[in-house]
Amino acid sequence: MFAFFIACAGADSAHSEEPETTTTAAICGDVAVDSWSAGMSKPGSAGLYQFAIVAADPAPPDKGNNSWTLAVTDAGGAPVTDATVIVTPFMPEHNHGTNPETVATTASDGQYLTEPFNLFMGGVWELTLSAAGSLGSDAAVFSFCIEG
Amino acid sequence: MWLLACVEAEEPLDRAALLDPESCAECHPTQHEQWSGSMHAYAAQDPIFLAMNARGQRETDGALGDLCINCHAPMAVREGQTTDGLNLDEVDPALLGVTCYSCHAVVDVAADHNNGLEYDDAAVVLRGGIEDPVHTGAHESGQGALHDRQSLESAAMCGSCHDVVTPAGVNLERTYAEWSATQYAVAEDGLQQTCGNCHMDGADGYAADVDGVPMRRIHDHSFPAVDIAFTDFPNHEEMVAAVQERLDPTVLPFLDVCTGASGVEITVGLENVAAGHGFPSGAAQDRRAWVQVQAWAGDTPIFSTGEVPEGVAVHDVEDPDRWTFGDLLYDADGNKVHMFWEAASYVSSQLPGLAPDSGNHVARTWIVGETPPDRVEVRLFLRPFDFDMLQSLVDSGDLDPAWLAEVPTWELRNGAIRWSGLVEPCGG
Repeated sequence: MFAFFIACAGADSAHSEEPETTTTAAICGDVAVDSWSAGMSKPGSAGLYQFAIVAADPAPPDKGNNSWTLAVTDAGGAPVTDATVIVTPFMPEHNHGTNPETVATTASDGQYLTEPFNLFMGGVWELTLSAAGSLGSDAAVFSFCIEG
Repeated sequence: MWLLACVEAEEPLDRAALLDPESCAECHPTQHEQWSGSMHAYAAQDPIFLAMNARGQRETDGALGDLCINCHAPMAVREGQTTDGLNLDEVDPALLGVTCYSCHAVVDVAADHNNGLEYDDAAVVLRGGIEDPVHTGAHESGQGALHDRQSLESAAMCGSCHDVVTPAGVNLERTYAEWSATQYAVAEDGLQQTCGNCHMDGADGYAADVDGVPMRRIHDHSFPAVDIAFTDFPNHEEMVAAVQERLDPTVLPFLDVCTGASGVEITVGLENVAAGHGFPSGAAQDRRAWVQVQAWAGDTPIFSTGEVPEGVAVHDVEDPDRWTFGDLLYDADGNKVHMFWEAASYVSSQLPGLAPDSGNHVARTWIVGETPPDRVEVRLFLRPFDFDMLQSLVDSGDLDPAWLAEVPTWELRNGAIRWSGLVEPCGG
């Protein structure tokens, strides 16, 4: 017995390095969600802007505090750097959002950095990215399964 | 030698070792470290538990029996080392608290309250949520729905000790029953949430520090909720932070200020969005949540409720506008009591969980006079134990008054909301 206990110390190097593929969390079930990838983008519903999630911390988005780097471009692909960009988290299956309702961003080097926002429970979260700029207002919805 | 030994133990752990959390620490150091600071590890050391059990046994001439200790140190009861929790200093420390074995060796749930957990001591399999556990030879390993936080059945195992019915038949603690009535207990896409989904956060990691174990989605074993240790206990600061993080988003507020026929109306709404049960829950008879509302016209305060000094019980503050959440206990004659064994009934003012057929919103309006405020602030607080109950334990000689200084008052930071501006007519 003693040999067994001693032997187990420091065995980290024998672990496999990559996480096993996990099944979809039951808390999300078959609800359609987006697959995370850095730089993923969507057009706004008004067709004015293209919204991209350049980076996320953590990546993919997870339960707890999240911080994103966003980019907004116009229909021609030119960066939109002078818009007011906000993020609105919402759980459609639970019918609630967060307090405060929206997450502000700060423009930085042509991108937008969100304040940390708390996806505080597992399940499907919709994150609406909204931009108000010289071309007008537009928004796109990203949906993620937060496994928790 | 050492790698080979990690793959397969030379001999399986014997029963005494399986019962001892320190044995588990050798190969599950992360889980053991998290558990060591948890309320499960603390359950039989909590001075409030010890005081309440001592007084309860005395005042009922022992009729409480193992009601308390059967959930605060279930293995100590099963091993025959205590029948009432009054001799814990004589009990093997390995059996105190809600130990690894207490949960991972469960084979069935025979009752949904007062610890109806069942074990098979003749063929011990330690179960978790992993479908294909690596077998090391240290113990038999298995998977079961009771131990899989993605399974609704797992809530039944937690619920068996988190619902308590007193000998008088009072449904004292109802967390599992409350959860069972919410949408989260429905096996429906996007709705299902178990106890483990909220109180055992997932993370990619290793279930055991053993050769060949792959990285998987594992879960936290510190179980943050609302209570923290009063004694010098491991991981205290981490637990405080985890509880605060858990509490902050629980309730979303709504605030409206307007002028009605009877004067200025301040309406506060609260929505329980993140507790998959009532709020507060568990020992709701001891817990107190309350709303603080303050209104000003310029620098002049024109209305205030819910201003509760530290060290003073919420219900001991003269406050006719008070809005609180929790349970109140009453004896057979309708007198308010603090100790659960005296109770014949309860009145609950919990904020309900999200339910299919009823709302999880509550609201209250105060008429605050004719002077319109230009600023209103709302805050939400929670104490896991309030001072009226604790003072009663001090007065009876069962609780050292020094512990009163350790009672936290949590502010649910996302429950705060502010309004400022000009008051408009209601309904405008």
